[in-house]
Amino acid sequence: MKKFLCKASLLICMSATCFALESPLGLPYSKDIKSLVKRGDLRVAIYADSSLSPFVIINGKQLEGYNVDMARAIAAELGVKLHIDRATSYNDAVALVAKGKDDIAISNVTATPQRALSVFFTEPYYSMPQGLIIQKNFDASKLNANTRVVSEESLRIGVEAESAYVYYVSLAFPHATVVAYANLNQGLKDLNNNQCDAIFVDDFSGEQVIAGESALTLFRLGDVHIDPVTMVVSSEKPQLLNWLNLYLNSLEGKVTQATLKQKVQLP
Amino acid sequence: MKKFISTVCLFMGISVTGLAQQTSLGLPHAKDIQQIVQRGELRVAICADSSVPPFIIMNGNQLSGYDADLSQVIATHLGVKLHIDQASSYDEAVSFVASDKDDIADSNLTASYERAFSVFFTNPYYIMPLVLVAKNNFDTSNFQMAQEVISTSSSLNISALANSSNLSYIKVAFPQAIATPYTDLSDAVQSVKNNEYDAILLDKFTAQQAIFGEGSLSIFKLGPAHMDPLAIAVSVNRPQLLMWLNAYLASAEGQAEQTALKRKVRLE
Repeated sequence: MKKFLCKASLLICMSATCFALESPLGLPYSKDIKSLVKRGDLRVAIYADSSLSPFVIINGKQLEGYNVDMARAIAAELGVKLHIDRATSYNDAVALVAKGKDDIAISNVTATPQRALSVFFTEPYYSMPQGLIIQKNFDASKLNANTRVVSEESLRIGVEAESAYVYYVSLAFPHATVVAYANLNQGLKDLNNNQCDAIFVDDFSGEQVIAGESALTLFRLGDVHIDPVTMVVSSEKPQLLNWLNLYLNSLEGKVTQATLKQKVQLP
Repeated sequence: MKKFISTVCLFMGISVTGLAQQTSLGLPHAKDIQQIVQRGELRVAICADSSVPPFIIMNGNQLSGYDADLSQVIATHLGVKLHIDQASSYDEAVSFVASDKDDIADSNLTASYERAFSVFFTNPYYIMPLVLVAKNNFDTSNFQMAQEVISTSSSLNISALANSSNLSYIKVAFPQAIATPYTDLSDAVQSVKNNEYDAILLDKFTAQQAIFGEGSLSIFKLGPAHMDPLAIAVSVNRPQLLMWLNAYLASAEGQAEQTALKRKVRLE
């Protein structure tokens, strides 16, 4: 009897599993997707910092914002729950995926050749304009917004540590000294104490900072300095990468992105 | 003597195989491609349910068209024969690849993310515009066809093939409209003429066929957001073949070989 029960429950388990492992079109799931669906959650690394609004908005212990909404929409399309791991930096978000703790990172990550040695990147999901926070009395004639090399001078450029912008500054300011800061507030202190001449930021962080600092201004860089941010995908999950690219490019994915952008007033 | 001959044969066999396993540059093949080369054929699923010219042309049981021609060119580049498995529906063609019965499906397939739960898709080899077929006096002046989401009156009735990606597409692109499935295109065309449906959502080629000889019907173009990317489905166990196909499609774009293939079936 016991044996019979075992067999019966095994059979029920198997049929339940088989049932759950079919796609909405009734086709078998491929390996990567199947393992996600079996596990029941999509694990997403998100770097949370107060300078990241509206991409990430910290609301007590809750994370909100565009990146979180996109993660939720993607998990829903996959038919699984969303599990968020908070990363402590951009590099940490990449590392969480590279080490297999998370499936993907949706965290304004720039695709760089160094990172691509460890992880896959989707096509860009947002084009992030870049700029420099400077003192209003800084001589901006030293800067050129529309060439790849912004300045040949030996400036001191503040940039967030553990971010792709460290690499970016080395390209855009070949003779500059990089002054790495742990967070943007520290960077602002460096700027106010004349420890650096300018801070290299994305436009969103820049706008937020200068709103509260009357002595500072944002020097916007031109179209050659747009940072296409992408989603990071585990290199063990090529099928998930292929799926994400198709989803982001589908009409459904585009409409979702437009709706979620509107929700947080992201242009 | 017999033993000697079989040794020689074995030796020749090995060297022939050894030769065949190298690329024209004298390099070893990547694993996925080596398996196909060793097997001697590329297995391709094509939906042979009906003619969808110029991609799939059925003449009795004889299958031709752009997809079959493209598959032949790909097999030739890989140095193997072409084996076609005829599927009875698009989803069955995808399922042949999902179950590894076939290596690829080259079958007028829309690269949809729902299908990508089960297979890889290459980059698109053709971008197919979607259009509406409606009566000549169909009034589109209040629609913003350039938008991703096109607002319409709530009584607008748009039809699309039952169980197709176009039917679910209506719900996203025309959220206010009523999406009605049809099973037979000529019945659907009749329904438009009888004012039962306001329009049918079709790809450009099917639309041209649908209005052929129908003086009261016209094609209404949608904006650039409304395109179906046609792509080759690839087994998820063949990532190297996927990479190779993407490299081939990128390098062949606009080259003489592709131009000739397209000209042959009058694909623009």
